[in-house]
Amino acid sequence: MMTGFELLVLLGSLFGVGLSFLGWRLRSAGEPPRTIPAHARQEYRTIRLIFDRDLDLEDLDVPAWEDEEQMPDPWGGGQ
Amino acid sequence: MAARLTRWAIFSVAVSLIPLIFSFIYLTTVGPTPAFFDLISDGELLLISVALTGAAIGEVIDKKTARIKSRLASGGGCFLVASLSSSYFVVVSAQDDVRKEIVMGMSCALLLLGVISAGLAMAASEGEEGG
Repeated sequence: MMTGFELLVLLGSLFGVGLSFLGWRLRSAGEPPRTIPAHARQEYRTIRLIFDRDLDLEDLDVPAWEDEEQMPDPWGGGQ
Repeated sequence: MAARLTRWAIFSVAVSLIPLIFSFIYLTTVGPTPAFFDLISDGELLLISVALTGAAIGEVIDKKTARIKSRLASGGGCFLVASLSSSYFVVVSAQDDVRKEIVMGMSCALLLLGVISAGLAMAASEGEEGG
């Protein structure tokens, strides 16, 4: 017959395994789905960050352009 | 992830069992074949469980790529298993009249839980940026 201490050790260890399982599940939380190609994964994370934390663009390290002429053309320019 | 876990299973789990294998070989050569019971009834498996979970905690702490909540949960789970295995080993080694069959069962259970916990922590600590 197991003593109370042995039961406590066993149940505590089971709880520890549960915590580790939770950590393993949390690892992939919020990560881009595997269907998103590798070159777009960082953009996915940035967009998630903005929406999840309700951030303003001013909070991010995004350069602000006074003059629209200085803004880089996302389509490559000159087309 | 599979390659990493396989490497961990071979070089951490299997290697940590080598002392028990040598102990079995030694006891076999000096006398009659020992029972599995004799090899692990003093709580040797508890020390192996502590070593495995301790290594996993180090791995979780070292990785900066994994998320903080994930690292905290995995490391905390491993720490809990390591602490309880250590405390049980202290109790077992301090007593003279231990019930060996209970100690053997508890040792096997705690080693299994330690391996699962450490494996989950190793899997959780793998970061996408180079792991």
